[in-house]
Amino acid sequence: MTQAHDDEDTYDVVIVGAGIAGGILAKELLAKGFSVLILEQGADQGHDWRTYRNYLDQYYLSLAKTPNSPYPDEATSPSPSVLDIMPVHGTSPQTDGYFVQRGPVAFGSNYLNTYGGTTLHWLGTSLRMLPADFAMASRFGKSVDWPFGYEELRPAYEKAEWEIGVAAEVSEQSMKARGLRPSDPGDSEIFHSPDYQFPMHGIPQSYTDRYFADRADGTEVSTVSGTVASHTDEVIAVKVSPTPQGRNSTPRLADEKGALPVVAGKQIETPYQPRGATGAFAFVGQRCEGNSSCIPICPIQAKYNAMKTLEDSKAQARVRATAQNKSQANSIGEKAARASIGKQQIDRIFRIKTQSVASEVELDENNQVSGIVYKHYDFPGVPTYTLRRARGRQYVLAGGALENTTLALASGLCRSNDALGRNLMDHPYMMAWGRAKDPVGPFRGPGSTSGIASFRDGHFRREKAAFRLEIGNWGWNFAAGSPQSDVSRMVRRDNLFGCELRQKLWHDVQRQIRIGVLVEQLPRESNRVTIDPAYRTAMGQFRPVISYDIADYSRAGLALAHKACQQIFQRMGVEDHTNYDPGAAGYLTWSGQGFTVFGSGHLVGTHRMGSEATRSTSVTDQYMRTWDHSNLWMVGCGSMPTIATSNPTLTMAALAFRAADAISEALT
Amino acid sequence: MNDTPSIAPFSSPDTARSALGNLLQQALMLELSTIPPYATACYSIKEQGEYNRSSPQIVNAEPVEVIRQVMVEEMLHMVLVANVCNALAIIPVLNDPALLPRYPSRLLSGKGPMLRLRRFCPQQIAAFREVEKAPDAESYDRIMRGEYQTIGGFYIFLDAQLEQACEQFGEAALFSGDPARQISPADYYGAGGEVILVTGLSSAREALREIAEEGEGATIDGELGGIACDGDKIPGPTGEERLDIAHFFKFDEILHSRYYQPDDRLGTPPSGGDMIVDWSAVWPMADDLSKDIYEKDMELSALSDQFDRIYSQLLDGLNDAFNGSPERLGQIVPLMFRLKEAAQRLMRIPLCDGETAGPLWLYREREGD
Repeated sequence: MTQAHDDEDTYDVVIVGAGIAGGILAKELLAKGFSVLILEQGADQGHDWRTYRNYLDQYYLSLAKTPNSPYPDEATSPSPSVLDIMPVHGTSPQTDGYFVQRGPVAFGSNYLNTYGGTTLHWLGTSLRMLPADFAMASRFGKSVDWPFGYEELRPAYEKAEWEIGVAAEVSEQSMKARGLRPSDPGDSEIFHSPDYQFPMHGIPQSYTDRYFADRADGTEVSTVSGTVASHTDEVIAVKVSPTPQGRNSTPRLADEKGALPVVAGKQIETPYQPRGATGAFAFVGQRCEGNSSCIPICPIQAKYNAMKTLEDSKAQARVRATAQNKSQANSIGEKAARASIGKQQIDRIFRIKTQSVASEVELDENNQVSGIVYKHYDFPGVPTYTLRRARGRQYVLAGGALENTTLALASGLCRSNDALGRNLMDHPYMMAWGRAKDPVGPFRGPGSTSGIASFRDGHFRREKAAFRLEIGNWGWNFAAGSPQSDVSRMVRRDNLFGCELRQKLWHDVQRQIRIGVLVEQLPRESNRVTIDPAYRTAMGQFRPVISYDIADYSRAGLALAHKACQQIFQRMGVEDHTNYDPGAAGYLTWSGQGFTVFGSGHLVGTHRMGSEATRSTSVTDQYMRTWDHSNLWMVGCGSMPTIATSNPTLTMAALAFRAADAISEALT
Repeated sequence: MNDTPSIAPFSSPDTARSALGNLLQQALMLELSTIPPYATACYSIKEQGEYNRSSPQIVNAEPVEVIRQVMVEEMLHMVLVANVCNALAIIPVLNDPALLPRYPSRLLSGKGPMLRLRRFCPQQIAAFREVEKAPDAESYDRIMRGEYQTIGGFYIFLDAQLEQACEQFGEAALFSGDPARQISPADYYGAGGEVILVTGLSSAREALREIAEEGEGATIDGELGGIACDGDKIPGPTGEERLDIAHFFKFDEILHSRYYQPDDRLGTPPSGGDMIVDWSAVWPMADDLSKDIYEKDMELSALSDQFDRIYSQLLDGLNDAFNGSPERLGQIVPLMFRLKEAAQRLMRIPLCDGETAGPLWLYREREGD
């Protein structure tokens, strides 16, 4: 084994992973005056317009436009691909692709190991968790409570919404406006703080959304019986509501009285400035243009991605370097101070080392982290590297739930209990699709602009999983490969061509509607990530070995969701075309019914937070500091004790703000 | 400069308003008239996949972006002029065929630079640069007599007239427009800068100054004259100020294949990084196309008509937006995408001599629906 060479500079904080969590941590800690190093395994692509255009080219050329299709998948920093998800048979693991799947159910999600992380292909959905989601054990006797409640995280949610630039209206996002009957009536009042507003106005609802709202609102679904409710059942009324989204719309100016919102207890002084594309094309992407390819790539970066936060962090470093130069030479002007910034000077304040794969977190005799050994490679795709060691005072793993876990396991961290890698969760994603009576104008606008939040909370959570319904704007794209599959079917099966083909295609595709179901999964010890020396990447890194199942609680939730979708379609007069293939990797059965689920890309759990009382089953304390190593923090979706029914990015961003405060305290 | 050559006084508020109305309507048409030539050049650049290379290459993405930036600022200028009109209770007209620009023609009623419909080529970009030229060479006296030859000179004249009128009859008497007709930042943002709500002389002058600054980098009162920066901020990362470049310099950047830095001076070559410009990755659209070329070909004239109809809908929409329905602005955005598609459809059709068809930008009266 070769010896790792120490890096010259030591930083206040060393972060692993240049994604949204790492970006926010860096930006916050830089603002507080600390020096920061980020180690990123992917290459330095995407942050300037030329390399971003390469992503676009790759997307245009890809035949299967999967979430990771635009982005590099190099041997030096491989990412999981949804194309590799295959059924797991018996006890032999499925090892195609990056994951090693032990089953019994194939874990269907992916993520992206590159500069900017998975925010490059996320949809932008920025939902908060509900107050009840923080108290699953005390309210429903299920799984665990978070070590803190909703109200404690609320200011961090506000900061996260302003960092991402969430477009939504408070008046439309209150629990009441969304038709959510909380399991505790007090939840509604605390959901938004009094003078809070989102940084941008809501993205308009699509025509499909309004088509749904006009016809499906008020549909009553019993959480217990079949389609006819008995009077003792808990009955939930469907309500379509707009979804908060991390994409640029119209920035919110002062209201009629000239007042700007209060965010995390602080009065905002200037309205939110939307950020466009990173790099030289800053003028594009200040507003969503409806390019309709949010997943896998927004061509103009109107959708938030973590590269924007990382650019802010770099700007922060330049501002600090300018100030340093000014204070050193008394009479020097702003411009001269800026001009005299050296690369080394910047690097000492903030540096992102890309092509640097963290491979071992080293501990000293006091069980404190003493350094992170990383493999620096010169050429993407060529697994030849030099070993280096980064040093800091505090260390943060922010590379995503699975990457954090494999690195920690490989380094023998957090061994005082057996919690690391356990409680992996995702949102099993099921679809229902059908043909409406009228044209609804699909394949336009962002992937989803509204959803049905009605089933996100309720007393039924004692027995079955809560879920959110997402209304799709892109027809049967995800569900059935439309419109390409329609063309092929009409040509081959129906023998249509020319004008007739065009007319039929137009007629059918215009009427496609789809609902996505994101169902809650409870933490289970047996859903876990481990490592195995037999499975490594070309760089010698451990691949995630995943054992995964979907429990009856979630399956019961899926069955309820399926029933709800059918009732909604019935009420809307939609012809149901939902069809679940028993041969699919995600085919599940429950109580005589079968459903196909996919992953949502929401990788949650694995290094969850806990309180003193749950110390033996958690990896970190409530501020994401590991129980075992006082200068090591694990931050990200992996920190979440439960997944609930909201897409986790916003919650992760809020947690990053929370951790940044705690880390800064630890440094002072 | 203290004994400023003065503008002849107006005989009455009505004559002042009608003189200003004339000038502002001209300003509106002036800003509009740049858009078809700029857009045509921009659309003629081949995009990825249209460029005949075995592997995809990024060609001309930068010039497309630079021209696009100029275009959206011209659109902003139209909005600013409309706000000045509406503040003065003058009706801005955008869809009167008698007033709309035709090509080829000289700007400023024949006194200004020449504008033609041509593909992206060095001569055309040089012509655009000419359009955005600062009024340096012009004497102030001549401008004040209305004998301006540049757009900058025109705006100096307009500004002086506005000031004169306010001095004579008072701001309140002139700025009597309905504030509800103003286009606000909520109706228009994310394209070229911030909309200014015009309520009186100072905000009107601010709006006119923004137009002049973004054009040639020289302000009406001479603050920024001669440097590349136009005083606008680029929407870059939080906490850092980056300054934008004026149009004259942007076109010059394309000709030099090199970016300007905000403090570069007029007359010195750009000092920034390289810009990749490929003059050959362009649809060879024929110069100065006219209607009679398409007349013999049914399909071509149908496509050309289709383009014109979209253009006309856009102008009608803008006219509505500027005349009491600001919310229409957002609704006509999709038309701009369709306009580009329709133009590029034409540019793919060969005519003869290896040249292709292109858009004519002719207005057709609104159909009675």
